[in-house]
Amino acid sequence: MANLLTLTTSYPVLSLRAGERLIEAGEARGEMFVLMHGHLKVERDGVEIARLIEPGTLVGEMSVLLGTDHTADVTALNDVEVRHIEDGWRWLESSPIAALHIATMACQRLDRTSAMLVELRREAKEGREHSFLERLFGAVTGADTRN
Amino acid sequence: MISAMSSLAALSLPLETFAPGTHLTTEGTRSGQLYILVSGRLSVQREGVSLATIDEPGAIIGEMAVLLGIPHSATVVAQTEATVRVVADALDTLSQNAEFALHLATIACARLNATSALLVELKSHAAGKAKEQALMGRILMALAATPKGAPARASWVDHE
Repeated sequence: MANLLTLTTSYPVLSLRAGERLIEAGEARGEMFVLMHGHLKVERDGVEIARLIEPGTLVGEMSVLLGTDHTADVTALNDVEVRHIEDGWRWLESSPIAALHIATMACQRLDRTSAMLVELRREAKEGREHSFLERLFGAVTGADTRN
Repeated sequence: MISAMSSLAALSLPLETFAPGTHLTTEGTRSGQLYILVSGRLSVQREGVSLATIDEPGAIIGEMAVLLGIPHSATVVAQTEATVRVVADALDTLSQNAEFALHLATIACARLNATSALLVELKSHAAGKAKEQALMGRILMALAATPKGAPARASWVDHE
């Protein structure tokens, strides 16, 4: 599967410093970002749900694909550089490989989450919910969780 | 949805009919095929746990195995006589058809989004055990199906 960084070399680079917002929950503008380096924190309803640290990670694809507002805040934790794709939908429409890549990434996350939920349902009475929840968040967001 | 439908219609996919009780996919096996439900009702099971019922025309079956290159993680059984369109060599089809690939990406993201929202909710309710079981069921549903009121671009129900 092609790396998203190699598919986006022609797009401009955006730099952020620690504490700066890449995405704010609320109105979306159809843009997407590909993480080049640095760490990003994702928060939903005030709950930290993920840290994005892997170069090539796509950010903002949910609202582009779903046509919805951003549901999470994304903030730089250190010096961050991202590729900026202003019209995310148009990029995906013109690139079946990129679209397939996103579908595959999403399905990987779903698959891991689904397997864990089946397990969780079985173990629900054994009192290991908390650590399991952390793993669930990691799976569904495709990133490591920290809490 | 309309564009994805017309894009798929242009592929003139063959129809196949399954008798009640027969498997469209079997957990642990590979087929490389996708199915698009035309009519009938299907049951989705994983490790003996029943996850969902599929009866919405346009629902896609088997996309996880195709995209991930893994054996089917769920068994899908026809509950009634069921007619589907068959996408053989689905990965080839997808890599040449941005609309179809984008459609799958969109429905997968709709499921992730719904699941993520439920998990945030679950996390804040983790202390209330009584609610937990009910929430679990809803999370499983969120993973297995596009929720009602999902955005227009994700209006197909999607299952594995």
